[in-house]
Amino acid sequence: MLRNYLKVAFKVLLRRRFYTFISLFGIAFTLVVLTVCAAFLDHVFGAHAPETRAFRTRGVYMIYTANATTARTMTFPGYALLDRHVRTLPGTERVSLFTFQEKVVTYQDGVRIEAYRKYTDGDFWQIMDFSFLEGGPFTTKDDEERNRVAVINATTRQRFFGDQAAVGRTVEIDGERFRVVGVVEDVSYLRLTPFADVWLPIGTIKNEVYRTAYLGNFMAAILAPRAKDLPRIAEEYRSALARIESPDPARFTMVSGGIDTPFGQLSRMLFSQKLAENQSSRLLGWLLGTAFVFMLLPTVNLVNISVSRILERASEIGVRKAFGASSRTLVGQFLVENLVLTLVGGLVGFLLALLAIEAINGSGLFPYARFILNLRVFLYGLLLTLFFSVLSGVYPAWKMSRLSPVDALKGALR
Amino acid sequence: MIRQLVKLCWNRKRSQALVAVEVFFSFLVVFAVMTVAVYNVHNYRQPLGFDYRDVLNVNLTSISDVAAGGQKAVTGEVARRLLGEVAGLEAVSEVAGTAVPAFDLTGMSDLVEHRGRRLESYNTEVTDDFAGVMRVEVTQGRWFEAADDVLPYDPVLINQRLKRDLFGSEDPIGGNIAPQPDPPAAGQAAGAPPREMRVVGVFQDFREDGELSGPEPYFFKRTRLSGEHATPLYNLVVRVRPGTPASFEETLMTRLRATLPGSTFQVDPLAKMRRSLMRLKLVPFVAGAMVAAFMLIMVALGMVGVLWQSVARRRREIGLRRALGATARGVSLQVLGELLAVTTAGLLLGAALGVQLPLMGVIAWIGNGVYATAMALSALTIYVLTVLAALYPSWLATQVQPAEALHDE
Repeated sequence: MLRNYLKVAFKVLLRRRFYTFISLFGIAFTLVVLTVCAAFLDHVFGAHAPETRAFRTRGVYMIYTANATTARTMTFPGYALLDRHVRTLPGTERVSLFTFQEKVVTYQDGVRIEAYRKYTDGDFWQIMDFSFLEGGPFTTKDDEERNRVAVINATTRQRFFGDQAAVGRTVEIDGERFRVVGVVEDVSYLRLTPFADVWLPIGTIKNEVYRTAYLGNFMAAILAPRAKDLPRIAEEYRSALARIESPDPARFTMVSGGIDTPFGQLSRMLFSQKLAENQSSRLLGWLLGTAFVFMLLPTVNLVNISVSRILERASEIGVRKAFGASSRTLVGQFLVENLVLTLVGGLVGFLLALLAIEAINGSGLFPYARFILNLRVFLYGLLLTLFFSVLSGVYPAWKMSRLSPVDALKGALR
Repeated sequence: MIRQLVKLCWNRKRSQALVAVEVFFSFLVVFAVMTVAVYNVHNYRQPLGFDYRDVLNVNLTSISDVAAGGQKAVTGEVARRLLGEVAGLEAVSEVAGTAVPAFDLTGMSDLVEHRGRRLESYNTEVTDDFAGVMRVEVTQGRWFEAADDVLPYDPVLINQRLKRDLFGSEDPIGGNIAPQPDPPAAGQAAGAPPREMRVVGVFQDFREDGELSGPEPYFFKRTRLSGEHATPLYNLVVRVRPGTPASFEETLMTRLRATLPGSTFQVDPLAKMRRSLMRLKLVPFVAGAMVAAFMLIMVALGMVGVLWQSVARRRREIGLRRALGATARGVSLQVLGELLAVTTAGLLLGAALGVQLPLMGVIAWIGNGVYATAMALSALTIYVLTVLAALYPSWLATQVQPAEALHDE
């Protein structure tokens, strides 16, 4: 029976090539856009190496400062604030301080080499899970002793040394020489915490003033022993901020903020009215809402096509009824037809999404970004399309199958 | 004729409603893309106000210095020495300093006020040679000069837009634009009035965020290189002689490091910064436009399908009309006319929604002209699409033979 249905379905789809093409186009296109967007979000916010411990890691990215006369401003915290008030938080496993990346330029044999530099401490390498191609990380001791050592990524190694090993050799960064101790795989530009081309110990920063600065350009990553310790640490952090005595009341008197995931940080920046809580669920709601609105147009289109297709085949239904087919049989036939159509559309969409993601990866739009197709999101999208196509294809067929054969033959569905 | 068509559509409102809804959503999508496109084209055609070619930007404030909690002070004597050393290089024709680099997303914004009119304006602080390096055109009054060091007020130059917003038709030269403090609360002493910021000139424009940025008020303050109120340098702009090779960057870097050892410099050609900023602004738009284009193709194909089916179903009706003497042209116009009527219904719905935004004043910065152009262009796009979609089905309708169609029964 099912084999017959399938045979009929393929025959029908091939006979009406135009309708089949439009439906496949719509389904595939919708799935491609949804999947690419999901791949982007997953790439930026998902728990991927080197952030494999993301579920028990949070960051201090931005803080809000204010005083009696100025409005609240959002800035990066400085080294001193993080060193005194975040490193000392009780109940954490490790805390790492690091700077935002900045571009530095080196000229080697007349060739301009650009690299993003990030200063970090030794704990950074314990919280992050970098995969080393050569050598290893620098340590807390290197940082304290201000050793001129560097970890570089594979692309930077290629730029400075070609295909040769780099560990033990020196690179010139911003006019100073550093000994390479480790080479890691490239990390995507879109990952807020780990991204850089060159990682150097904080102790090697030329200007010493950062050690006493409360506002500046540092961030912190906090690793908790277990994910369930995070709310308590967040509470500790909040009360620690409340206790801070400003070293410079002219610039600020109050500090507020919270510990976040990068997604939470983004939501805080977008909807920063409330400071106590980050707005992750609200941002997620917005994203899902946008996806839903985006799906409306393809869906209406699909419903339109399906309804037209069924109406066109009114006489076919009439003939089958006249020869004694039951409503159930008819509905079964249309159900199989729609399933086949949607699944083929899904397959085409899957292949096109792979191509689109490959194209984005190859375009170099985002340095070192490698998007990966998220199978789960793809399946959700497919299920949703299936629901609409079945609803739009089977419901009119069912209604028509209830008509008397004579009316159906006349195409009398109103 | 039109009443006829509307009636025909109304008779089959259920199936037509779906098409109208489709048109409605398509219009919203096209309209969103079109608004951004028209806005960008409009901005791109406005004068940039400066010449970025053959200019290198040297950033003196590395992030790690900012991380140090304060700006490194390239001020006074140090700043003058740095400018002098760079000017001494053979390939350099002129050099100046500015607080905010062009083609960079950073910006400074401050309150300005004149006769109770108060607004926020972007600005930067520049040295006396800046107008020469960047070829900024002064249209009224004068540019900064060395003698300004001893003035009892801060001289500023404003752009045409700020002049219009703040002074209207009044002559701006000599006007004070420093924001006045709020009246003191009861029981508090009034604060000292802020130092006067007096307008000494008006310039055409300086759109530091590039050709795609919208029209903004803007003004220049003056960097003091000497005296006790000396202000720091953050960026150098270096105009090189035409034809200078890219390898000059390294020469410049070596000279900078020799002058101020232990500092971080970043040298970028302004042309390169302009390209990356343009790309940063265009990539999301192009991605959105591509998605919208695919959606439109999908909708157009869908409409072809719906019309095709409706022509096939109404063969008898069409055959009857032909038998009663309707021409082939009349029949194809009917098919097209019906679709146009439904499209117009969807468009009216979309336009009614689109008009709400300017009415609520949500998007005042876009400008009503741009908004209206975008709306007209979107409606046109949808109509063109509709006509294209109706071409084949309406031709099919003309092929209906009255005798055959009536015989079908």
